[in-house]
Amino acid sequence: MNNSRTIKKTLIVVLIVWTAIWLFFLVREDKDGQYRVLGDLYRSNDETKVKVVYGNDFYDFLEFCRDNIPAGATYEIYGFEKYSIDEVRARYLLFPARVDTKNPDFKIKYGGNAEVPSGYSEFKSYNKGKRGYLYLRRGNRI
Amino acid sequence: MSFILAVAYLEITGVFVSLFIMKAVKYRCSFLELISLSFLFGSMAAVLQLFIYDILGIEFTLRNILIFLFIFSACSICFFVFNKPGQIRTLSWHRIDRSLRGTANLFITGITIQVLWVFFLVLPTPVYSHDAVANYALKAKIFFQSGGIPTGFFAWPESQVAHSDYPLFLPLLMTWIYEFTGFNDLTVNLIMPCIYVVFLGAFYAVLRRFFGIMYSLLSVFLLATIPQLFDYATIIHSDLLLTVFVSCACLYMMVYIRSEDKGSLIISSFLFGIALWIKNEAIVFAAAFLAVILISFLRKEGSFRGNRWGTIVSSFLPLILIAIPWFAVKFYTGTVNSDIDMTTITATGVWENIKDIPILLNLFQQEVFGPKKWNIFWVLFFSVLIWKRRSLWKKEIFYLTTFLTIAVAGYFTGYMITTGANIFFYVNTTISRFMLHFVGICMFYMMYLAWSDVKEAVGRMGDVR
Repeated sequence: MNNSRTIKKTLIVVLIVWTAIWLFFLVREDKDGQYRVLGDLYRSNDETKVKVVYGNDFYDFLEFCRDNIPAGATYEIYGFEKYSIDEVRARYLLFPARVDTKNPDFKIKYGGNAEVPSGYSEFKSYNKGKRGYLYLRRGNRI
Repeated sequence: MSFILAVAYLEITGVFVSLFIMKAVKYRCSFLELISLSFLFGSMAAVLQLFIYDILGIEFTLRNILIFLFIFSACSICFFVFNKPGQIRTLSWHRIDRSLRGTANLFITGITIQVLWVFFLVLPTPVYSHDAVANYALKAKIFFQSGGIPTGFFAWPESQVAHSDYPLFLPLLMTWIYEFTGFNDLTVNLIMPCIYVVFLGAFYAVLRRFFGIMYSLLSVFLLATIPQLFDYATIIHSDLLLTVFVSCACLYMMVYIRSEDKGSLIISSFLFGIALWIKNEAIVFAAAFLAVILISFLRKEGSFRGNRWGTIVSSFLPLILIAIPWFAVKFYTGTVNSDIDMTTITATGVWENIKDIPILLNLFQQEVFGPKKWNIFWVLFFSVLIWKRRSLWKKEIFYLTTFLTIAVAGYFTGYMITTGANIFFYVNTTISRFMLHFVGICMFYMMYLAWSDVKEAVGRMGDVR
C-alpha cells in the first residue's frame, strides 16, 4: 500500500516536472532572434522567405550568379569555409550548375577584394552589399 | 493544395498496401493503426516506385507517377470488391472511465499543442539547415530537375553532393512530392510534421495492445513532448524517419513476442526492411531484430524442426525483399561509406578510438542530464532501469532487453571503428541524433517495465485491447 502511494506521488511529481520543463523549452527561443526571424518569415511572401533565412545580400549574390551562369556550366566557389552552411546553400541554389574543383567554367568569389585567378578573367562583379566576383575561364564563351 | 494532394496519394496508396499485407497475414488492426501504418507503407511505395522507375529508365514525371497509381488503385479496388479486406476495429472512446476523462483530455491537449506548435514553426520556413540542404534537399532538387537519378550519381564527389552513398528514402520522398507541387522547398518541409503525427498515432495504436488508454496516452504525451523529437519534426532530416520506422518495427516485434501473431512479425520485418532505405544505421537494428527472432524460436521451440524454418523464412523474407533493390544498387555502383571504410580500419586506429571512450561517456552523460534536448527522459529511463533491474531479463521483456543490448553494442562498435576523423568529432556531432533513434523503443521499454506497478498504484487506467 505504501509502495503504491509512493509510486502515485512519484508519478505526479514526474508529470509536474516534465510539463514545466516541456513548456519552458517549448516557448524559450532556441537560438537568439528565433522569433524575430519567424515573424519575418510569416510576413514575407514565398520568394522572400528564402532571403530571410539566407540573408538578403548573400541570396541576392547567389541570384546574380544564377542569372549569369548557364545551366550545366561548372563552377568553384570560395570566400567561405569549405562545407560551411553558406557553401552548401550556394551549391543548392546554383544547381543545375555543378561544382568542379579541378577545371571549372566559372570561379565565384564572395567577399574581399578582386583577385583574378590565373587562367580566368573577370566576367561580372556584384556591388550591392558585400562584394562578389564572377570569373570566367579564358577561352570560354557564354 | 497540391501538397495535400501528394499526401493524400501517399495515404491512399498506403491504405491499399496495408490492406493487402493485412489480408495476406490475417492481421486485425484499429482504424488509427491502419491510417498511421498506411502513411508509412505509402511513403515506401512512393520511394520504391521512383527507384524502380529510375532502374527501368522511366522519367520522373507526374504523369508517369499517376499512371501507375491509377492502375494500382483500380486493381486494388477490384481485388477488394471480390475479397473482403481484413477486419478494422473502431476506436472506442467510451471505454475510458468517466472520472479519468479529465486527465485524458489534459494529455490530448498537451499533444495537440505540441503538434500545432511544430506546424507553426514549419509552415513559413524553407529548407535551411546544413544537413537538410546538403544531404536531402539538394539530392531531391537534382532528381526532380534531372527527371531521375543522374548517371554516375553515386560516384559524385563530396564537393558536388554530400554523402552520395547515403540511402535515398528522404530525397526520393521529397522528389515524389515535388512532382505534385512543382519545385517548392517551402511546402515540402511539411512532410516532417506529417510523419511526426503519424508516428504518434502508430505509437499509440500499438501501445494499446499492451497498456490501458490512460497509460498509452501518457506514453504518447511524454514521447511527443521530448524536445529532440519535435525539433527533428521541424527540419528535413532522416533521423526522425529512422526513429519512426525502427520504433514501430520494434513495437510490432514485441506484439509478436507477446501474441505469437505471425502478422505482427511480418509487419515488423517490413518496417525494418524499409528502415534500411532511410539510414545506414538501420543495419544495426535489422541485425538485432533477426537475432531476437532467432533467439525467440530457439527459446520457445528448442529446435528448428518442422515448419519452424518456414516461419523463420517468411518472417525474414519481407525485410530481405525490401532491402534487396537498394543494396543491389549499392553493390553494383560500388559506393563506399565515407565514415566507416572497412578497407582502412587498422588495429591502431581502433585502439586510438578505444582510448577515447571517456570522451564518448562524457558527451553521453551531457545528453542524459541535458533537459534542453531530452527533458528528463533519460534520467527517468535509467531510474526505471535501476528500479526494475531484476525484471530486465525475465519473460517477454528479455527480448526487448536483448534487442536494445545488441543495437547499443552495434552503435558503440560503429564509433570504435570510425575511420574518417577523430572520435570526438563524430560523437559530438552525432550522439544526440543517435540517441534519438532509440527514443521510441526506450520509451516503450520504460513504460513497459513500470506498467504493472503504476497500474496497481493508480488503479483504473483503461483496459488493454
